[in-house]
Amino acid sequence: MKRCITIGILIVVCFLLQSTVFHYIELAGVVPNLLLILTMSFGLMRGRKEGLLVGFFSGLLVDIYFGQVLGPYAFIYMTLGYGNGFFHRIYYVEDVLLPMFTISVNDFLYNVIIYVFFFMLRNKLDFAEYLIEIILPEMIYTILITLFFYKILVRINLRLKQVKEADTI
Amino acid sequence: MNFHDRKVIPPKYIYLFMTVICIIMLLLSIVFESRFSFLKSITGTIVTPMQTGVNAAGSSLYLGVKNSKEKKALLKENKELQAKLAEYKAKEKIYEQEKYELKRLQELLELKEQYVEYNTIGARVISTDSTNWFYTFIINKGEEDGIKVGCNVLADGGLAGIVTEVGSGYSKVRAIIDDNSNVSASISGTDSLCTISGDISAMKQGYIHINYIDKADTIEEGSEIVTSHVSNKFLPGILIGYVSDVVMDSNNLTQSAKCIPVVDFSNLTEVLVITDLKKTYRTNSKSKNIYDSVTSPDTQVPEDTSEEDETTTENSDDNDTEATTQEENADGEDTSESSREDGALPDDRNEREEQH
Repeated sequence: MKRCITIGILIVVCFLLQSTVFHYIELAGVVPNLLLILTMSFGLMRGRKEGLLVGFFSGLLVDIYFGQVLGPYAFIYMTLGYGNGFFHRIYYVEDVLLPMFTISVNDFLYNVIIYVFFFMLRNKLDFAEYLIEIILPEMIYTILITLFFYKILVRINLRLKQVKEADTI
Repeated sequence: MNFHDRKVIPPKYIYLFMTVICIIMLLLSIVFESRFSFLKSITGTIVTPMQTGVNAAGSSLYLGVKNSKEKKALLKENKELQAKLAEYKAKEKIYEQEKYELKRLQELLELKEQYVEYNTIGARVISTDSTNWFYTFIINKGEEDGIKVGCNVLADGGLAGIVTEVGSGYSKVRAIIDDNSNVSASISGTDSLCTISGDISAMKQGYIHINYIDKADTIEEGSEIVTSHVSNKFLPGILIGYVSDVVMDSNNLTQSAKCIPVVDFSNLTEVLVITDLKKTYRTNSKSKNIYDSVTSPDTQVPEDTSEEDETTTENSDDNDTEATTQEENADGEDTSESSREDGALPDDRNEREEQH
């Protein structure tokens, strides 16, 4: 239960940060994708099930607040969270390279999916331009933020584990 | 999440189940769009105050750092500006006189001034789209402040966007640079019409597209683009931006150009919302605007067309492309004779137009 509440708060906080104050620190006109980092981290740290649930609710929040219809973002985030869960078995607490690698792949896939569904299907075919203007800057910025943010999430996860163990004993 | 640990369901089944939920949600929200608005308004009411708080804290911190840097520069600028203000005050006197004269002459010609005063309300931008692909933002005024869906939003003296969703205490605005945005516009001073379509990747280089300019029109670079009188969403005569780089399209029928918007979208903090809607807005003029009487002098303008709204079509089509709106406009003028006696319900009008 504590875990649920903590994750809920984390999702809301990430969403708030991303949609408000992060615009003051935007570089090259992009903001880092905190919700994706959150989804990725929980997929990696806790496995497929939790990854997909965190992803689903993160995406749903984006859908409700900024989307025209409900569903697409929830599905994208959920799929990525689920996919990251497969890397759970090679996850170590101290490992930094794995999250770096997964977040870059994740962010790239996330943006390509958005491009394909919201832009390419509307006959905006200039992929190279979108790649340079949006996808790459966001990827790099998100990777940079992951360096710090992932550490915090790992701490929170460890703490939750300890609390749970204390409860069960 | 403990409750899932108790009974072990393989994650792939959960994934499939959630995918089905997503698809159902997608379909339901497309089919019953209005039914889902309560969900949006609930989250809006919960999240908006938090966003306001976080945003206020963030901006004060950011401004605090920024201010200390810029204080000296501002003091210097302030002095210069005050000198300028005195100059402009003198100029304003002259303009006031000229305006009075213009009004007198317009009355003489039975024309109403084209740029009428709109009722506006100030609002603060509290959050912007969390994806980098679209440009919508949330402002801190909503239903109770008189904002409705379709209200035009101004900033820096130019058009910033249009309200697409209203809740209590917040409303969502789609900026003109958003990829889904199309604005029917006209080049100031001429009656050539065009469409301004937003493009997020072009905006990174500082411009958006102007499409469907008639090939016969000669457009000077640097001329002003304003919202056109044929649009059914945007009030006429609002400055959008300036033209640059006019090129002939490959179809050799239309021209396109780049539009440099006057609004600085990277630092959007305060906006002005016009609470008058285009479709209900009435001027008490004899004819709607100068162009109507200039371009069609042979059409007899009846005495009571004052209540006539030229584009009162209820097409809730977001992308008012030039072609359709022009048609509507033409039809609207034709049907004006027949529909002006009654209250002219918009739906009625539509049917009539179709018959026509």
